[in-house]
Amino acid sequence: MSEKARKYETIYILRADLTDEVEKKINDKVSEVVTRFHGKLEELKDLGKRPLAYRIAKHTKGHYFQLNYQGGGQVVEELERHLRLSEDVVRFLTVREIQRRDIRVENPTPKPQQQEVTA
Amino acid sequence: MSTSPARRTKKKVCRFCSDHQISIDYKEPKFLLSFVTERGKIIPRRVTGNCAYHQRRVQEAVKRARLLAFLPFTASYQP
Repeated sequence: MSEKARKYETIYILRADLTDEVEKKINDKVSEVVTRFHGKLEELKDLGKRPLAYRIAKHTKGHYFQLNYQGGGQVVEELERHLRLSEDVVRFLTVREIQRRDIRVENPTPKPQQQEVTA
Repeated sequence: MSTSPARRTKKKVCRFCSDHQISIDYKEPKFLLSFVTERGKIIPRRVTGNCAYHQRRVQEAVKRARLLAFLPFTASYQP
């Protein structure tokens, strides 16, 4: 394994009318794809069923799942290929998790003291 | 005041800069809804008061949310 492992997050939407059994089968398969390509599965979260903001291929509702994992680019490639081939997947999106400098230094530039006496 | 006081409104402070606890997440459509108009367009930062850095994060999040049908691209037509 020469590839650098990165953190990824994939969200995929399944059709809302699937049975629990079929859903479980798909989720197991997805997890299996990740581990098969030496990815490290971190979490599979059920985000629940919710209405879609717009119709996608005649679907108005979807069942959202969130998958967090680590691995090289090959894992993402294979996982997306797998999701693309499945008819029950309405849509998916993979995002790389980046450590962001959202927590910044408090008061980076100290404000100049307000002058009380003006005249 | 440097500019004409009549037109100048109060300087808005970026809410993400003033509160570091707020995170911008594309998985939170309810939160992102406050940064789009009724028609689904992204509100410019001159209106929201976001700083450039956080506006970019918001923009990215809204676009991702649209792809996942959390948010609409446009408002659906309702007669």
